[in-house]
Amino acid sequence: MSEEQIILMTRCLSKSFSGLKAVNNVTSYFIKGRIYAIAGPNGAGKTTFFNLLNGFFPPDKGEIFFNQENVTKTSPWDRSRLGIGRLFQDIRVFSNLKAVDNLLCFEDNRFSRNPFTIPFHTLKTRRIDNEHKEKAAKILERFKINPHTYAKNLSYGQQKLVALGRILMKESYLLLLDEPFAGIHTGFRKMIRDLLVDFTKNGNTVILIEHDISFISEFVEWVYLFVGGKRVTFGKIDEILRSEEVVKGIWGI
Amino acid sequence: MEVLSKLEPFLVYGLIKGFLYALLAVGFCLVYKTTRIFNIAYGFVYMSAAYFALLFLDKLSMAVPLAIGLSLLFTCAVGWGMEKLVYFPLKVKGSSAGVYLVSSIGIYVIGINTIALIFGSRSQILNTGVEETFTIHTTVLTRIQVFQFIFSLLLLFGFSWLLKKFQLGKKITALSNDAELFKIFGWNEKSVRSSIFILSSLFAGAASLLSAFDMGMTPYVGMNALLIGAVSMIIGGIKNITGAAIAGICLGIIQYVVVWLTSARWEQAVTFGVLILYLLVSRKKISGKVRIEEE
Amino acid sequence: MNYLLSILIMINIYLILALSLNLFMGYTGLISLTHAAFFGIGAYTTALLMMQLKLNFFLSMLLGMILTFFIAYLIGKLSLVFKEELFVLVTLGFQMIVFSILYNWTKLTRGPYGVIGIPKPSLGGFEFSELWSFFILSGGIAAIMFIYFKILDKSAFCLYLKGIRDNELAFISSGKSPAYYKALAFVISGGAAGIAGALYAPYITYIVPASFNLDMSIFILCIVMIGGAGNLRGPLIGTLFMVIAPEALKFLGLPDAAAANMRQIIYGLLLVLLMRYRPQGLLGEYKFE
Repeated sequence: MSEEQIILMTRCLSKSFSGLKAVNNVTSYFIKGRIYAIAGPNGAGKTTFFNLLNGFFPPDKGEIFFNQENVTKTSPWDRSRLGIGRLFQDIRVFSNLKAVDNLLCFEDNRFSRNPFTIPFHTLKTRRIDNEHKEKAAKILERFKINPHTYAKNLSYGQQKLVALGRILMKESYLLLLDEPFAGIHTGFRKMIRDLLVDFTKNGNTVILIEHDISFISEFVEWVYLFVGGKRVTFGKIDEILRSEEVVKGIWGI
Repeated sequence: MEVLSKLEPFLVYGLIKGFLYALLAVGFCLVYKTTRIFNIAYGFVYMSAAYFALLFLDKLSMAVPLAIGLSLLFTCAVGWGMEKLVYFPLKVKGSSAGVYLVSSIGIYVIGINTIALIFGSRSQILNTGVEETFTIHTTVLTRIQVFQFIFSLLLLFGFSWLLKKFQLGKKITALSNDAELFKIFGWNEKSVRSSIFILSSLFAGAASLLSAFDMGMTPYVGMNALLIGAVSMIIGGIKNITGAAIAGICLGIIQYVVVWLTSARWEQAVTFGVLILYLLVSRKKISGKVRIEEE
Repeated sequence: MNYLLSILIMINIYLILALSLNLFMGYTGLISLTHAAFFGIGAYTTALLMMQLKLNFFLSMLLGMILTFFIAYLIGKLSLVFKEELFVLVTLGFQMIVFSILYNWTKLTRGPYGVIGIPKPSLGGFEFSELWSFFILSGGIAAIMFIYFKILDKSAFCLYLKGIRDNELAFISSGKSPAYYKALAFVISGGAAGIAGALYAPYITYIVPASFNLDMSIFILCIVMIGGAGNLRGPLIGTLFMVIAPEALKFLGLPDAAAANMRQIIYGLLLVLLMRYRPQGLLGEYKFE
């Protein structure tokens, strides 16, 4: 296994809030082209782990490497730009914008984003804007969402799809998805699963936080188990599922 | 030794000024910390105290203690009225900080222009004739300055005592630290808020009256008072009323020294200067906080 | 006729001011009280350049705009790190600082005495000295600004601002820095106010610091809040309302000083009522809620 195969690595990552260790000394690595799951009971620090990876707050200790680059001190927007996409547990769609605008916000229009140069680029800008609009419309069509509906008027599931659609507008190498399947019914679940599998076929990586283990066990091989902020186990998903004490203790089944 | 005795007047006068500023800081911070309202109309409350006094003393020729008492009463009523008529209904609506802000600007504008309409814009002074002076060591203090010193200290300590020993104080502390916890105790937020506004107005009014006898007023001094209160709060640490008070004291001393070294013209500039310095120094710290706020 | 033209010219100037503040407030949702300062910087720079250095009006306006950009950049950088209400306080502070400088730096600005005798703009021999010619000049510039802001409104830039306003964290995950766009909006907004100032100076021919104080910032704020923010119709109707209504009030015949206070009271009342009952103003797109 060469280093270049590792897309993401964390070393001794720790974060406390008001004395409580949300993420406790987590060392992990993720290989390109795979789908990982991060599982564990509520409050185990999974979302905080994702937030650290995105850079929304600095860790108290530890380092994060993305594509062999130390990004621990990189700003969250620069990190996203490097190719990390994120789906939030609370979705965070732009409620007062239309679905299509939600997606367009995630594009990067060099000509239309600088108010100093906008007047000088009107034709080029319009062409690029239209390209982006078509791309967004296609994605929304796949998800059967009317592009002109305001996001706040969409159902929970549809909002989640819009959030996923946003990520698809960008070029990403690593997706951090926090409960992508919650609130989505079977038809779309399959579609998203296929999307993710395709995504990884191109050598990209997906990390999921998901509670519905049985559904993801069909296409996810590797699992990190988080309990109390610590990385407790790592292994193949069917082995972990088979270990009775794990299942009982961790998932409280 | 000589230096010390030369320094003494500065420290004393500066301290007196500082205590007045501390009153302003506490009054402003109290409201912000508990209700998250950035009350620009605080400037109006401050001003109304002085003008009530003008009304009672000059126009109605009341005795000084009565006039002062009534002025404070009416000032508290103004603050209370703001909360009842404007701020609380907005809270019920669930408004954002910006809405409170613009509303408070509106109240401020209505307030000072009403006063200007009634009393005129020119500078007025509350007249009590030539002041007796006291000499302490090498410092000469007028009777008013002694009052300023004594009453501001009384109010500041009184407030601190209130926070610790009285139920209201406990409620205030709870509300400022954790609104959820406050609800769990089953306390009535509406009445605590009213009390908070009354207290805040009391502080502003006291500071205003204590200064008005000394320096006179125009309808526009309120803005200056607001800025002092707000800047002290920012510098003293927004979550910390004691910090705000201390910052107010420091600001008073610094301002006094600068004005003595240069001229009264730069008084307001000191407030801004201190603010800008603070902004420059704390920029890095603040931006980190902003992100976590998001969570 | 002259009366009508002067009203229209003021409408043009205030429209530019309203559009400028609208660009910032309407799309970021933040409230700024610095615009009178930018207005003043534009006015003073243009006036002084035209008078001391005998520069052409259009060149002075351009330089005034650039200076305003620069100062807006400095103020923006310091203020934008703060959240909502603190941000307003800081802009309030800077508004007063700029006013203080205009008032006290007497060597440059002649302080409260102001700058007198500002010449009319001229272009290649033609002087805009007649009222109707100035109307066309101001109208032309206002129209250009309107078109510019319309282009911006439809551009990705304003879309990004709306995204930031809606959910800053989600926007960050799109790979873009919110601070960058907010700062840009503030700078452009300031510069546009500077252009309004550049027009104002030669029109009035006599400027004093008092025209650019906090009251003026509040006035511009009122235009944007009453008309509505976040689109172009709001500032337009807000400007029409705020310029025409006081003129209508004049016919009530109140003494001058009292009239000024009365007007302010009405503005204050409008702000309070709007925030309570109609936070999107008359025709605004964004509700300050």
